[in-house]
Amino acid sequence: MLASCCDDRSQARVRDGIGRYAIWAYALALVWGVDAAAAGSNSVFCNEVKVWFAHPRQIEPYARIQKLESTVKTLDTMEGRGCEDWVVERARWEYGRDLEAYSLTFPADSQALRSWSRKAADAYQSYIDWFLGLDQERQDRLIQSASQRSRSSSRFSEYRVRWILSRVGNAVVSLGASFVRVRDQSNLLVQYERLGTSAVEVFPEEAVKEWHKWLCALPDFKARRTPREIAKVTEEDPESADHWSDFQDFLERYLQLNPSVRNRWIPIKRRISQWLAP
Amino acid sequence: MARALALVLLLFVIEPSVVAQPEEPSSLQTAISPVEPHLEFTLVDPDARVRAWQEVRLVVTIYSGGSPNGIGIDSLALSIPKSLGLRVAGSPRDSENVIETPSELRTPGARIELPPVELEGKPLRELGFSRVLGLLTYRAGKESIVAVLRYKKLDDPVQQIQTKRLDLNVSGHPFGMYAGAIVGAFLVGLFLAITSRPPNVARSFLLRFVRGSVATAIAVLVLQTTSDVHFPVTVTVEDFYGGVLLGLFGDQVAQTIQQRIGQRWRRGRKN
Repeated sequence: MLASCCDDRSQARVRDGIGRYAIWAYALALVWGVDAAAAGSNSVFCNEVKVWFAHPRQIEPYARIQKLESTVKTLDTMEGRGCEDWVVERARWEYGRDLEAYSLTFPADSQALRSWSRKAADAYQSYIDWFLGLDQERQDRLIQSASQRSRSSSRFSEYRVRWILSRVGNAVVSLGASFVRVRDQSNLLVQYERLGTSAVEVFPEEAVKEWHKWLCALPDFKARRTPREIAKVTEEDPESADHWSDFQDFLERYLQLNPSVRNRWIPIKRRISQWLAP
Repeated sequence: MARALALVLLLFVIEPSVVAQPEEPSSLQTAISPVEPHLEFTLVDPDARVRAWQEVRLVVTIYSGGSPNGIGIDSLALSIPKSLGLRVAGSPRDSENVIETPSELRTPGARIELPPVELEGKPLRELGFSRVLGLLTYRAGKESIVAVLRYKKLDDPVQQIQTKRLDLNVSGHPFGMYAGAIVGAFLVGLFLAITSRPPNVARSFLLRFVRGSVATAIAVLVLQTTSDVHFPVTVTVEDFYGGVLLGLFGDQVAQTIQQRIGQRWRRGRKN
């Protein structure tokens, strides 16, 4: 049929075209097949984690940490494919919490306490960054599935704020506490400043107090000094001035979001303005 | 004068012991130097004969070493050569042979002696045809099983690895000898059927093959059961190739025995 209607050249062209399409189709099938296989193995892993969460076995804290560590590592490699956000959130949050609890089983001032607290701080930091990296739609979906509150409810936004403060805020407080245990308060300031510029909503007041406390503990900073003396200290030490300036900016945004605590922080904010005034 | 000489002699006798004393602190230092976490790993019965594809029991002890807050054990796994066809009893297919799940040893100098670890032959469906063939034709030799301990010193939670090698003299599976016997009998049967060209080739080959196989199987069985008996002259068959060698002569031996028994039987009937 083909031979009767067309010449050799057009037949060859048709054959080439079919061959090219076949190669493309094969390549696409291959990619799709590989992808489907990866998604399949991901969902198997995810189901295992869900079962583990649903029926937690009584295992040693060390074994639990190992299990959570490997789970978090695998979830990292999956990059959110094949696993719901609530599973990832719970694994990351529990990993930080368990590391912190485990660090406290060692004697105070021991090297082990400091090492495990450092790990806990890293885990919390990674959890907070992961949560803040989600877009609002995913955050809402996560909060809905974790709390069983419908997003269509009129009180969802109120509940959202409370959930973030209690869950992510808890991680922010623990992050600071872990740095204090490591005796790395400078890192506490750096991390809180970093979070404070991008996500005021995750800061519970406890974390803000801790931040303020360690700012007041900066070298040469003594509350008994007069504002003029302190202004001189901040003027001579630009790093200290930067820390205070970041905190001042943070307070500005924080108080807009939390008017109920305004009265407590306004005097402090005013004092900082005096110290930083040129 | 004599007293003075005696005193000098006495001093010479005492001197070496006095000179030897300063060495003590250095040996003491070696004893109290920090010890790294380590493993001990042996057969439950060190004299037990280890065969490919046959169960064997091991005993593993983990020592926490001198780390002040102890160690956390992440995993303890065995690396077993595939040629042995063994796995840790009950471990799932294609998994690492893990024998110890995460746990901790908090005290310095502590140790855990794990319950005996049983290695079992892998099931046939897991081995596949080529591996089964490899196990049947396995040649006795030295193999090493390596225990890999992944742990963290609790002072510095960075995963570290300790390994311990267990060298074993492994011999072939007993089935290998029977398989060798069958192959040997098959080859001889085929050779004689081709070269001597009897009237019924197929029947002659089949007869020689079956007779040779059965005779060699009996011989292997007898040699195996009497392997512990100390005869003045002993013949041992270790593996597939020993079985083949026996199989080559199996038919001839069976024929000779058959003729002797036949002659006696005929003589008995005549009498």
